[in-house]
Amino acid sequence: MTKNQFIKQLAAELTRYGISDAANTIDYYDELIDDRLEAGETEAEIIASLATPAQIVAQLAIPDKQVRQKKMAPMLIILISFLLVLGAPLWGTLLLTAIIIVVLGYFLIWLGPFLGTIFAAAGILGGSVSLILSFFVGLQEGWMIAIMQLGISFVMVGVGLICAGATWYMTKYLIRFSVGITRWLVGMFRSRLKVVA
Amino acid sequence: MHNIVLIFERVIGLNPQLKKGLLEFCVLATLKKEDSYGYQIIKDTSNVVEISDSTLYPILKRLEAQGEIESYRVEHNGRLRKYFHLTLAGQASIDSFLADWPAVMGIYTYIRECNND
Repeated sequence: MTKNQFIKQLAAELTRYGISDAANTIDYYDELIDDRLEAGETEAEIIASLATPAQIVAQLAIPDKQVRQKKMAPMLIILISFLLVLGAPLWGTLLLTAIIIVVLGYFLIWLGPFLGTIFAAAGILGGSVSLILSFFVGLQEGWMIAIMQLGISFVMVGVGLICAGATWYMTKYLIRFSVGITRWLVGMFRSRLKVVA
Repeated sequence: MHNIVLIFERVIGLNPQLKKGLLEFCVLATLKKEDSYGYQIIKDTSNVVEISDSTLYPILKRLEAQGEIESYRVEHNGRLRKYFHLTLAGQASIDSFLADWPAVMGIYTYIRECNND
């Protein structure tokens, strides 16, 4: 790993864990590597001797969290708790509404694949049964009616297959979309919790 | 029983910095001699104690946050190098550590005596 790669990785890890004064941390390692290069060490030797960006950030994350926790006075915690309880009828309702909206949103976007699956199953199964039965219809009711049923059966199977294909593609994109939006929602919730903590 | 009470009193009376570890005091003592920067601090303390690059940074960060050291930048070979300077609070911290040392030695002696019995 080169110095630039190391610094980039470190910056990414610091951002990922929301470490305070990330710029100072990067400056420290940037300067340290430069000093060791001046002292005659090679870039590869220096990078190999350093802790990995993930280890560095893990070491910084614990005191950082402790500092944040220390900053909140006990009186402030009591006050916040009191306000939370007092405001429960308001924020509780809002939270419940938000949860219902999110659940409804998921329900609505997955309604398409759900209906698609029903149409696909009905078309393919119904069409197939109708296709097989058209032979018996021919024997009992006449071949003109049987040919008509055969045509309708093919149309049903065709529509079912089109629905199945559309549902397949829709499901693939919706899985990605749902995972993405869930991650975003969870990330947003976590970052709000971090601010509160 | 009396000895246990004595030790308890001594431990309580110790500077909390002492409990955090000796590394912070090594860094402060190094800066007492002269203002210095990360790499130089590691080199200067290497004869006494090994401080890794990743260990030093949180120590410097903590000491600066506590106001025991302060930093400034000096241009060096076309780049800015961060130097650290011992503050009065840092000096007080060293003095406090040295003042606490007899208490630590008392505990050490007691433990050694108990161990030898």
